[in-house]
Amino acid sequence: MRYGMVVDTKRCIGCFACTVACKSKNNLPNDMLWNRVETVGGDFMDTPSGTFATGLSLSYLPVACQHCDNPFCVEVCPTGASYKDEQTGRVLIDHEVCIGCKTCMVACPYEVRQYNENEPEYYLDFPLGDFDAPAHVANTVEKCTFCANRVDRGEKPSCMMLCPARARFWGDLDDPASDVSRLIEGKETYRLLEEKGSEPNCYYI
Amino acid sequence: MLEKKTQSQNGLSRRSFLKAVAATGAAGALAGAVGCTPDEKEGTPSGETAQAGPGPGEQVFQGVCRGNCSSSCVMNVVVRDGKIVKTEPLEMDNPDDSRMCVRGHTHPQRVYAPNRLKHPLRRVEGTPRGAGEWEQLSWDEAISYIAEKWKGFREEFGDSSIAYHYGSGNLAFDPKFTLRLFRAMHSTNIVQTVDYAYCYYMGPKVLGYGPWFFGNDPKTMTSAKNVFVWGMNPSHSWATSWPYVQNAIDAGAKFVVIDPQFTVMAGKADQYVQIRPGTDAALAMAMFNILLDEGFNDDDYLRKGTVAPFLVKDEDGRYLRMSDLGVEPTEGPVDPRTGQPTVVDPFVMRAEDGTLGTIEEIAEPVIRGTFEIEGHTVTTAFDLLVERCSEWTPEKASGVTQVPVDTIYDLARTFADGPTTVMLNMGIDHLSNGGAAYHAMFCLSFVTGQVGFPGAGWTGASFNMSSGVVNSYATYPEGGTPGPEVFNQYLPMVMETGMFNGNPLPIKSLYCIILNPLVTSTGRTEQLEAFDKIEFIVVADVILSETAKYADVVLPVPHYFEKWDLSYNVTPVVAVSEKAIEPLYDCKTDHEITCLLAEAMGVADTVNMTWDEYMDHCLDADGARAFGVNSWEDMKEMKIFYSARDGWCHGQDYTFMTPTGRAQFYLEDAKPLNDYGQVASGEFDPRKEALPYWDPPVEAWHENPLHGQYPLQIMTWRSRFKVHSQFTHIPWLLELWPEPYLYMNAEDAAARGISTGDTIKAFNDRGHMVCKAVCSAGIAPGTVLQDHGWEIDQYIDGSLSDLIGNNSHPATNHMAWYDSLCQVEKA
Repeated sequence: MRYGMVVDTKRCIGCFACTVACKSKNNLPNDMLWNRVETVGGDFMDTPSGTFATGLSLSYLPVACQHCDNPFCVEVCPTGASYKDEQTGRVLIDHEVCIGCKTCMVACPYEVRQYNENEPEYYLDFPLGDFDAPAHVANTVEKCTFCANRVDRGEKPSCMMLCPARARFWGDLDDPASDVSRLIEGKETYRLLEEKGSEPNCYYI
Repeated sequence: MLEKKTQSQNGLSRRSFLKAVAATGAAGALAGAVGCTPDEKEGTPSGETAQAGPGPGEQVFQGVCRGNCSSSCVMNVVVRDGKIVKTEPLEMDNPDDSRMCVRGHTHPQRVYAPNRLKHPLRRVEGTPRGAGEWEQLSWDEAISYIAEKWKGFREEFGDSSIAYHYGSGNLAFDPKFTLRLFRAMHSTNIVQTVDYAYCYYMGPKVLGYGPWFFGNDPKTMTSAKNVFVWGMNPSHSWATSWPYVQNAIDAGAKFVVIDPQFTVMAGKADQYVQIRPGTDAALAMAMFNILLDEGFNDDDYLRKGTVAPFLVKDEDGRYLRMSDLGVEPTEGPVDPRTGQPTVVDPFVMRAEDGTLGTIEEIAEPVIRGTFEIEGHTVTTAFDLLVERCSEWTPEKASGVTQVPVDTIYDLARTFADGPTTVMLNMGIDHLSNGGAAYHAMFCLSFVTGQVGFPGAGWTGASFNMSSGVVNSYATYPEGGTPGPEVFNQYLPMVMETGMFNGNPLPIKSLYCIILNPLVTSTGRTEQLEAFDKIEFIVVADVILSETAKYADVVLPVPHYFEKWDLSYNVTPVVAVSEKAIEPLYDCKTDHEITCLLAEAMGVADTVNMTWDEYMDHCLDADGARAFGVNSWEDMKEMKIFYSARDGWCHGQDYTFMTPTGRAQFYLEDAKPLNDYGQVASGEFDPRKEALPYWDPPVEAWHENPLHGQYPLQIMTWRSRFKVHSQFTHIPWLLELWPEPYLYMNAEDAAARGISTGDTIKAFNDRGHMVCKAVCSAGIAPGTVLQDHGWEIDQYIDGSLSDLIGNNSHPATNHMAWYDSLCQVEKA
């Protein structure tokens, strides 16, 4: 089994529902994002590239952990905290082993790993989101788990929870009948920074 | 800054990541296997809501998020250990209708927001309004204090001295109960004129309401050959409607976007047409002329579906009726509203051979020509339309709209090669001249006969209010004659003069319900001056909003999910919003507050009902019974049902809910929505308003002398992170968009030495706003753009609303957020 995700950037409108669904269901600490949405265009959110005279271009790119088959983060991790779960293809971090050295953050070309320097802080004094949301621990690195907790009990990742634009797809890339496999089969797709050899499991259309 | 917030922590900037990605083709397609193309529909798992049962110790309730965003998403509200911990979208019968946007995920932060009101509060005597000095009151104290004030005002100044101001922050029945109280007291209604040019003037007058408001079920767009998104940005203002457009594109529709700004939609369009703001009527009339010149007119449709064959009398602009031919009017059925019989005086049609008769008698009436009939000179309504539009040659329109002549031809020909759906919403409404623009735009569909079938017509905002499912008289108590009605932009005038339309109107108290007008209405500076002249202001709200801060008494109301209610604008469904938790703190529902106030004011007999009685009364409607709902108990059990007809096309079968039963491009007896004296003064001209026309916007126009001093037009967009001022303090959303930015055209900014991130001051004679700038290539030159809804404490200084004037229109009387000018300099 190899879980993977497909994002149709033609459909994506940069609405950030996936970003906040992820934040809410995973009970992410303040100022923590596992799933960001990049503006592809100008230098700031919602700004296009080009000019009115020559033509303008604006689109969006949701980016979270790519759950690579050749994860550089795992390769450089000195403690084995970052690991590839061979059963599911997920790249995960064991926070009990992580020493917060941040080596993985430098190695990850997708800039999706986040560091809890201190005890995580929350806006409310009780946990939000899923009852089994992951723990967030001081002096550890964390990131998208492909919502392992949700998926293992039969749900879909939180960012897949009704993408308003219907731009996100999820499933087992090893299963040719899965939604993601059928979707990328024969389609023009690309993966982010594919030339680096990380073999990501997130595909973009 | 936005950049910092989305930047990773490893020292590489976001830009370097994107540049690296761009090099390998993220912005374009990278080579991949190309072979057979599977049906995209096969794999749309993100269209599912993926609901599982509740987790351990969790309870799930149905809730409706119901601010005024045109969506009202139905969701599962999950409660754990007595607290609302998450929301998830509810799976609808038709998965295309399932929806929840970014904001919907943040409700736990709204419920437990630090700025929630906890108790009734009274401004400490002797402290100025807005100083933040409050004393806590018990409910008994608050109610008797308000009642004592109101009784005094009513005794001394009359019923209309009490005014109420009702908004759109909770589109459901609990706040509506308050209307019973103010109607029973004959109080003055200060109407917040949000979207009035479209929703309450041109839409109903020309198209009439329907089950999908003024349009088709958006799912029918998949039948369109062309989709024109015109003056609307569904990606921000109505994200949940985007899949309908995308589905149409997937089905092969050409996607055309007409907008002054380069929006996300423009980035996805097959054709993006930039138009000068406030000139849509000129473009539409030029397109109309091309359609007619090139023979794309569908006379059969015009004859059967529109007022084209109606004969307009030259002397008074009214239709020729059988009484003009000496046929006595007859009595029709009793009008339930007036209790009086209706008068039947049929319209006169003329056949080609000159035979006159009623619609039923003349099978093929003429739609062109001027005739002398029984001493009246009459012209067909269609000829009047043609004449009215005729001055708008493509060349003339191009000069006004800045759309190239060739593009105007191209747009018209594309439109004719239909079916073409026009998707529109409120962007055009937000200029003073917006009403007439809708009027002209609707005519493109009429003249080409693209009405009433899938893929044609219009789609846009959809509300269920007109579907007959609820009893619209439930909020009218017996004997409750409504008091005067004053649109909010005229409140400053009333407070200045004590008069409205020639009559004394001494307003002494204002009660605000489900709105935050100091942020969301135009004319903040004038409004504040008016507030200063109102002796006693009461605000009922969930949070201490900017307006609540200026009140004398504040009453705490629970969040949506802390009370039972029925949401009425969730098209295509009617849905119960369940009470997931008890009201927090010392909050009372609007229903409870109203009952207490009605008791104290001595009008409980006519106003008060128990909640269950009231809801039974609201559902006492044939529309509800048709779905098997005979009571509130039935509704609570059913929870949700589809009420709007799937696949409905507005105007199908040539029927419209208008006085003529037709599409009314000619408005007989045009009247303003709110008469402040413009009818008597002649400022309002009913003959002019009968047909489309183009006048420049009141203020935001390059030929306005003020433009020399203030050369930048302020426009606003409806952010994906807010519904007006709702959600504006939600921490998760502030992490993504932490403060107001003024988006400027890159060249306009450069000419002022302004770079992205600079602190700027925007100003005009009304006020100023200090915030940071973002320079963008996608902002139309000569305009500046900001998302509307930030409260004043979120700015460095001043606020956007301080710059926006009360510019409006004598017919549509709506707020025009985009019709003010300013100058910008580096602060």
